[in-house]
Amino acid sequence: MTDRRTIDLDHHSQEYADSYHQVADELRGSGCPVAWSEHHGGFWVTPGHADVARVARDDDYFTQDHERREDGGGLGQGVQRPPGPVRTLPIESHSPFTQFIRQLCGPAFSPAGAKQFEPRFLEMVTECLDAVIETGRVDFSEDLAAITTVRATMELIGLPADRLPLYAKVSHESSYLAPGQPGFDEAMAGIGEIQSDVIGLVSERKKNPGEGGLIDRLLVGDVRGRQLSEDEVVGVLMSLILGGGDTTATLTLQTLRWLHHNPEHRARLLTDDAYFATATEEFLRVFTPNVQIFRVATQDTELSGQPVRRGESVMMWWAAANRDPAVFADPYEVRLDRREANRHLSFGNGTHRCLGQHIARMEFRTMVREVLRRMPDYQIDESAVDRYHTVKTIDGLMHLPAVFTPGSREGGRPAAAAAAAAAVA
Amino acid sequence: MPHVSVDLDVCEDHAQCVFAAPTVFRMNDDDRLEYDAEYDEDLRFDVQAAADSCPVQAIKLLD
Repeated sequence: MTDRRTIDLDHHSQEYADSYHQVADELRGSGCPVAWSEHHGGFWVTPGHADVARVARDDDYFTQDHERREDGGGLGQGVQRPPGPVRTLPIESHSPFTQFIRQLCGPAFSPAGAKQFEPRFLEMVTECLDAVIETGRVDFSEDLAAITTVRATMELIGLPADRLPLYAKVSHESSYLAPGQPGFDEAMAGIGEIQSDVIGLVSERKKNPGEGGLIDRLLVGDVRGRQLSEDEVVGVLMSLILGGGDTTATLTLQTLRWLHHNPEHRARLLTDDAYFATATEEFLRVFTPNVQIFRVATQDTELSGQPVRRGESVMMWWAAANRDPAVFADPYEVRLDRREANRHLSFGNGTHRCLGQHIARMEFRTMVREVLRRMPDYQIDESAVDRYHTVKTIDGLMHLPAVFTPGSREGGRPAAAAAAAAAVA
Repeated sequence: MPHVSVDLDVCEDHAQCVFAAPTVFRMNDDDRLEYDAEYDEDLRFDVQAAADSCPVQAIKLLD
């Protein structure tokens, strides 16, 4: 291949995890920002906001459908490289099917749905914080964020709470364990167990419909004469379970860590709703929990002048696009009042823009504010912070331990949260 | 100036558009969608993103 600049970029490597922003800036500064990596079947890399945003929304030229067949045919490879073991929906589909599923998911994902769920989510957070509030010690990951986010998704779906320890552990671990690392096979087996639960639940609800909750909507919904199969409903629920946890948890943890180093912002974030809302978009931009996913070109096209051929993959490098100086002035500066429309791509773009974004913002706000209110003097133990060693998709934290002046319980049932924390630990 | 139209009979107040193009679309105090039918040309990217992400495809760009 002589028509392309190649770069040794493997998004599963520790080197990438340690330096991806630097790599993006070097590409940007080189005058030839679009480069080809030979890893994992080969893919294009571009750090530009305009390119990434276009790839994400140009369904005429790119797809993230998952249609790989055993005979090697089919263009779509889903959103992971190498492709993931199961098709998750609607993220690994193409419109109009994507839009059909999004329509079926319905009002639970609207701002009103998120608001309705907020009191219940607050109870979950209270339960988690009560379990540690008298001790003066907390791991914001395993005692709080890794649990509540997964528990919330389970309740929205209607999965039994007694399985929370397994789901929280698997959802967290499958975000950072790469093939070959200790615990990876166990995490994959855990995904299998969760999928069995979900298949059982969907099959049961197909026979005995409930009262119009999410699963019922997905099973019986009819949009333009099309219904989802049971397998497709399972695909949607798996994507909610695996996509709704570590993303929001990571945003929360990275923000709490930042507020350890910048405590002067704590008081205003706790009291000023509009300021918190604007700041949330900036935290989303700078921490970009989901660093990258992939699409494939369905026709020959070009990116910033670089020809891209049909069948070639392109990395949608959200984290790099979110620090493009052409769009964000002083992109490395965290400005909580960044006023220009904050066009970050942390929830994606186009037909696949994150359906759960309103729930994510509500969960993030509830967790951060409850921590600031109940543990106002918390101090992170930086020597014990443990970051994911690789960035499969999420750049998150395994552990974020802190100390604080002990406080009092405010209610809740500590047993379930403690059991889940023990499982994640 | 370019125009945008939302079929409010179809709209389910998902508010995906509100975050894609916050200066054009907003939620009122009852969590219902409101929007400006006219928008600046340099917001076309955002308004197109809003239309793409609408779960019920209620948003149409008009010129």
